[in-house]
Amino acid sequence: MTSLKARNALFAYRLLIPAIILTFFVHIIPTIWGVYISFRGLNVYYIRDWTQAPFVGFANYTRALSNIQGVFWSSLSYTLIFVIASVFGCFILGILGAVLLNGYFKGRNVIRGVLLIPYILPGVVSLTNLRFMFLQDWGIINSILLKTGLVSEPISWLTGKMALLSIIIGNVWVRWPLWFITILASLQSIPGELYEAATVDGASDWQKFTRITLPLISPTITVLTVLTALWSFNNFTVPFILTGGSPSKEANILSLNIWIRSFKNWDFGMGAAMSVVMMLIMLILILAYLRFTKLEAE
Amino acid sequence: MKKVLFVFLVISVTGIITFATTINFMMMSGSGAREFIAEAVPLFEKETGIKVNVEFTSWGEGWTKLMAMVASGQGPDVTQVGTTWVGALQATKAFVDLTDMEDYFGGKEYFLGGPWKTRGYDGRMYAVPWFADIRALVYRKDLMEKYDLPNPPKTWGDLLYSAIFLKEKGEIEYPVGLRGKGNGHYVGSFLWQNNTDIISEDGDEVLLDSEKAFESVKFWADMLGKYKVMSPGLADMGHNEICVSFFNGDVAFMYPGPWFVLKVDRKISEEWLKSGKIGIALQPGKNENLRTGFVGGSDLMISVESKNKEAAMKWIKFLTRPEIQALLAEKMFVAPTVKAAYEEPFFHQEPYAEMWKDFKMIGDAGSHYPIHPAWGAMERFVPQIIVDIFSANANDNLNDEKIRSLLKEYDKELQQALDSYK
Repeated sequence: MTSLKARNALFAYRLLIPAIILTFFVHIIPTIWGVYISFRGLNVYYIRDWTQAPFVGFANYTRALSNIQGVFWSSLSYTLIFVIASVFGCFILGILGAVLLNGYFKGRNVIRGVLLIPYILPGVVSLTNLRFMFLQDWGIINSILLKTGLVSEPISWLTGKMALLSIIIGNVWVRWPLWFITILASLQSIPGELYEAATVDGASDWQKFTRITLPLISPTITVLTVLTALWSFNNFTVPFILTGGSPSKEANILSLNIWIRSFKNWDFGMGAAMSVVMMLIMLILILAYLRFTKLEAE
Repeated sequence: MKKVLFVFLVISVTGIITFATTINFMMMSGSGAREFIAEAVPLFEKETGIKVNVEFTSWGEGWTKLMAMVASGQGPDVTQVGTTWVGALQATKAFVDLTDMEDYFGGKEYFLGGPWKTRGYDGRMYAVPWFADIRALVYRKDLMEKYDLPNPPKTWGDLLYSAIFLKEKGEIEYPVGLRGKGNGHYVGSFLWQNNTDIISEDGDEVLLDSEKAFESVKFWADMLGKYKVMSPGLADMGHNEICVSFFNGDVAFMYPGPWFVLKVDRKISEEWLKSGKIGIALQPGKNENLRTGFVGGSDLMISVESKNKEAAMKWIKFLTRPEIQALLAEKMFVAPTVKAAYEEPFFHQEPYAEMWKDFKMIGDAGSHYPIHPAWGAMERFVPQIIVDIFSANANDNLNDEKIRSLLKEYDKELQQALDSYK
């Protein structure tokens, strides 16, 4: 028996080896290297031979955290707003979509397929389309708003304070179908007898939703929330495509900011320092979440 | 089977003999680039027996690819680079020092003065000037004549007055088209037109926190926010959209290069040139004596890792021959850097003859950003200040205080970048 258990375990470890090796080379080594660079003054002079870049101690961290215009801190605050709003938007649309499509009606399958399109299409395609829709002078959104009289002047969607809302819309647009299809699957696994019993007991639709549906799908929602938060926190594609890589402050979330520092300014040391700080913040959030769920389980 | 093997052997050997040397060339995509390569490469291959593999990339990706090339040591033998990148790339020591080869490429007298200065810093030559991107004032000459406005506008006052006039006449709502997206070189232009610069002549000090810099930025920011002769929608526009807007009659003044004629159907741009609708002039300055504009363009550099440096140099020499420069101008509508090229028949053909004369004259009076190793890191300031000004306008807080505060912050940040390269 022990020998069989050991053999099974060994077999499992062997299957994991390729993934571990890949993770080591794609994630672990670059992370360690990034931390190393964050203590170096790596600029154009040293790109060819990184080992010659001078050791600068915590200077990159000091520069990043006390950056001109408070860029790091404003970038972090806009990132947190981006994450929270994206999760909230996906939650609302996901629940609505799932609940509406849970019951049978004619054409349900077609509607379900159509709603999945933003998730199936490559993000670059969806977001480039959205960018054109947001154009101030030529975009269809402003065109409709002006023609219907809802606004008297075109809105600057991709510049200024509206840019943050635009990237939130973009992020929700490409992510919410995952919420709706996952929650739908979860809804369909809830036994119908529970609702029948609730009906017999005189429960209203709202009571059924809050007392039966939500509690039973909450594990699914929790997983989706964590995943969406993580994916949004380090999201690069959405702000990059929508702003063309030159964002106004409101859309200059951390991931894009780090890219600009590193690959436009060639200030790799500072970009690496900002990445390390970002990683530590995410680590704290994840540890806090794990602690919270552990306490809840206890 | 033996016959097949024999034929295969013959083809292989022929291939080896025919293209004993192959070089890789990275070129930025642009209007007409592929058409130019389609004609130029076969000519070169026939003449020299050297095969050229061309990889196209966008300007946006080009900088990133160059960085990857420098870091990895893997990349093309010859690369097209923007003139504003030369300083930073020279500093990487990843490109060949061509100082001793100046005469091989023609020397100082062979090239126009402005482009010649972009070949490197500290008197070294790391880059060979390839073509000049001369930015002029392109304007609606017919409207200026119709309303007896300054033709051409020679000062900022002339430009503003004309723009406000056209707006109030109901002719064009937003007459001035300056790009709000990407690297708008007019930012530097407005500084030079006010007899100042981004960094001091000795390269030690950033000059953005100064009254002259404030005046320069305020002038174009006021065209957007105060006088509303620039559309807030320009925030989403690059050169393509602005040129199309010009030919649609929605813009009366813009600052493009000669390639603006390629942004619409050639029949339309040629018709406009023939009918005298288009005027081309040196950009206006704060006063008449300060008229200037950005003259950038592209240079060619050879990778230090190249195993075919001699072939690479032959390719560059070929690309800087007058007749090939004329072919480049014909396909891409960029200005030659080689003086003798302007004698080629192409530059005397109608309806472009006058246009090329104008651009050549403007090129002589042009200005450029510093060729300095720190400029690669500092160049980000240019699109960022454009974004910040358009953002402030969108947020209704574009005012003098905002402009001063932005310039102060950028001054500090760029000084930090400049100091890190001392």
